[in-house]
Amino acid sequence: MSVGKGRKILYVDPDLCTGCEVCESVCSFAHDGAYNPMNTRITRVRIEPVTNIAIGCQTCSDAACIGACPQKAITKKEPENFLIINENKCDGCGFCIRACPFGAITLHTKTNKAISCDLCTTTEYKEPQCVECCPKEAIRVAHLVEVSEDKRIVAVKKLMENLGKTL
Amino acid sequence: MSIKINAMSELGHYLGWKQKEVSVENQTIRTILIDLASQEQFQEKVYDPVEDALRAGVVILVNGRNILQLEYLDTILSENTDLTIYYPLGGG
Amino acid sequence: MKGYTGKVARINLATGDIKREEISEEFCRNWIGGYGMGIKVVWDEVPAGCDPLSPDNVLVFNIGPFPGTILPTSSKYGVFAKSPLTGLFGMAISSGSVGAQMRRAGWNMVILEKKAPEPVYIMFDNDDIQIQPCSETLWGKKDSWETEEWIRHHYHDERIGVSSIGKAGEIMVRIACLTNDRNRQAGRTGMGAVMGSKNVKALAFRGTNSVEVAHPKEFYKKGKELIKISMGPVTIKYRDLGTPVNVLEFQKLGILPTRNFQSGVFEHAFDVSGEKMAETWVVKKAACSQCPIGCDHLVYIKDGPYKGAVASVDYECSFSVGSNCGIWDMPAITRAIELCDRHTIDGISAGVCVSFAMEAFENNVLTPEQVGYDLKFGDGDAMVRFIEDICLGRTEAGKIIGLGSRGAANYLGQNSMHYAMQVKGLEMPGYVVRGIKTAALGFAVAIRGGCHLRNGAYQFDIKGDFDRFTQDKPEERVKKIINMENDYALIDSYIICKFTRGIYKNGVDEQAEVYSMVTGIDVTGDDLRTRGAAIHNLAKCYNLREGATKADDYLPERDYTDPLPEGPSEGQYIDRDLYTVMLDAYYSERGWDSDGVPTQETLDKYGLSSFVNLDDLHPIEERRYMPCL
Repeated sequence: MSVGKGRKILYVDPDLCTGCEVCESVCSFAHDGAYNPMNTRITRVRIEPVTNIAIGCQTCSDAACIGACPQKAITKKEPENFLIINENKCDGCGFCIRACPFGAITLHTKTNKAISCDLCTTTEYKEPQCVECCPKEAIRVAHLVEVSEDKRIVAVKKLMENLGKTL
Repeated sequence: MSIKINAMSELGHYLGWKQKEVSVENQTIRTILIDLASQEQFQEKVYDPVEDALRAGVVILVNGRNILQLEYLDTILSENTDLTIYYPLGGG
Repeated sequence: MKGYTGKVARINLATGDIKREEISEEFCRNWIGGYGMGIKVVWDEVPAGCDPLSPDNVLVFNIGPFPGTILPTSSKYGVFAKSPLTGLFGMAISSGSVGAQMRRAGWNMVILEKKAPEPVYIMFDNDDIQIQPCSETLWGKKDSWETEEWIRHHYHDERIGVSSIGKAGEIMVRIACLTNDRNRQAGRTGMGAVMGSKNVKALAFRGTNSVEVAHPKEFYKKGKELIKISMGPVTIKYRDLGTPVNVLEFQKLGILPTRNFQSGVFEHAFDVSGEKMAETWVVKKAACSQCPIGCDHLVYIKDGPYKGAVASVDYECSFSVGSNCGIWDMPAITRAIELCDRHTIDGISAGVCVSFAMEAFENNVLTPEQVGYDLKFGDGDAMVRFIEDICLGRTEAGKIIGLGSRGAANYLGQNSMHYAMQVKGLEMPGYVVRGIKTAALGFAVAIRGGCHLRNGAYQFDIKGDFDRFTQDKPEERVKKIINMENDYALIDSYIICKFTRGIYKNGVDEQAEVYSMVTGIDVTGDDLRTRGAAIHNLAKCYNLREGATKADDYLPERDYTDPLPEGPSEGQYIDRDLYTVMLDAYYSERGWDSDGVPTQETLDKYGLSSFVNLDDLHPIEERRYMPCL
């Protein structure tokens, strides 16, 4: 579990993800009270034969969606960096969707407003539901520095093993 | 005389061993289990020596025969017995 | 109603006429979904005695009330018709994405009548139904994997759920199945051949509607709890090594089918084991929609003659095209499974038909001229080639064996029926039942034929509840089988995956609570149990109506006459007289007469009398269907 302030992302481990879509279901339920993968802020992507991952907002520092929005409806929640989409300003034009390089924004099928991951802060749940419910525990909220630190340790361990330098 | 003890599938993972060969003298299953229960994981997953009871879902086979159809924990082992311990559950 | 959409699409393929119908809450309460609804429709609408490959057969696709929700393994659908393999009730269940997409599109059931004048696929785009010709694009051109990809690309939506047939379905190979999401099959009883007989290549579902339940907060909490339990010890078998863990376990028991069930031990068992797969072959694990388990163990072959072969390898195929054919070459096994999944034939039936062919070949009953090459036990390359011959119908032997082992043995004669390892025409699954005597009865009375999934009776033998070597305690054994059978009838009607049967601590009573949370329909565990028994009884009635007799509840001849030659179950065979005692006890406990026909009292008890007459169950004319060339 990530603690502390600063920019956060939802990190999904592609080795653990099985593409089960539970994250999509709980996300849509937590926000809307109904299950619908069209209205989810984290989406599973399956590329045959063996790739599965779920992807959502990457909280880009210089977010293309913010600049693209003609209504200036999108701002950032500091310090976590996820998007705040002002429903009164959003007119569902979809320019943010076109601009986002990760396909992380969608238009809600009922309200026709843009939706994006808010770490479940607009729901009644304390923890992001996808993190809580992922059956493979493949999703966590992380600071980017934590992600890189974990990878460094894994890489170094492997390297040292190969060099015969571990005890 | 020696017998082979197999811990199959998930149980083997959990115990950290898949096979042991042990030397025994006219022993019952019970005495073998008490011995093996000195390993904490074995006690947790397979046999409680205090209650003299197998954990739920454990099956023990002697040469493929379920000990429930033999003398259960009193089954006496002979030379070259294949003792297998596991958690079975059907699947397709 | 929540959970159920209640909407039925009835399509007359000959005229293109589409009727939109509704099913009532009473119908839902009585038949639940899946198996229950399937058997009711097949009973009502398929004319007695009809040829299963004629336009008169009806092909039913349906779901229960759970798909689209977070109930673990909720995304399941069922396919039902008269079987062109057995001539009796055909049923096949699959998972993946289709159940959830069908639900989101708003459909509870699709009934396909008659035959389309040219090959078509049917697209359900939410409420909109399109019957699209496909002889230029899909039929005869693309296998099931390619079809799914093509449809998703054509409609530009990767989420579309596609259930389709390959060439084997198109040319009506009797063991043909349907494939969706590449690794999932509505496998058994030849439902793919029925689809082919109707000129239907695929059903596709695109659904963008939200799914609501009757008690959302309660159900969300319950769903999350069940997901958590599904991550624990009750499912570890399926998550860890997967079902292939059975290989070495069955080897230890001496019941691993080897060389067409001639033996129960395989000298190369380790090479096809779950342990070896985990060490060497598995590259990824994947899951169906809403499944916390993820039992798909994907094998990808990186080099050698089968480079590029990729398949989800489950025990039933590790045995059927592995030990059962005397083969331990994992790349060949993987390729064989891939062919079965792409061209759509049932993996279990395929392997057991190939092993039948191998034994027939050994005995000169099937000749090198008919096959085109040598087809021997242990030859992985020949096995792969022959599987393709069956799928594509490209050799005489391929066409004969494509009738299924019962049809092929009937055609070939020369006592080959002795080693056609089938019950009612459906090939036996991966258990040598001579070594598990409760399962021996359980598999043989299974309603769709030789099947381990209709009552899971092997668990009583393997757990040691009964002595697996003796045929004693017939009354106790059959009581357990019947309880399991009724419970499983429910599982197949809700439809959920049997791998999650352990997550419901309070069994059917707990399932009833979940059912009520989702649908808002109040039911108790007892209500459901009664319906489970009713559904099973109606399926039995259907089989009787189509000419099944007591003889159809017996095992392959081999199980009675060929004691196992080696291994921990050496010497074991089924004593026919003792078997009959147990069968009679089963009939009696079921409320059936000594021929296995439900009595009037039983029909009344389960509310079947209003549409089932005892006369229906004693057909006068010779009706028992045999697949022929």
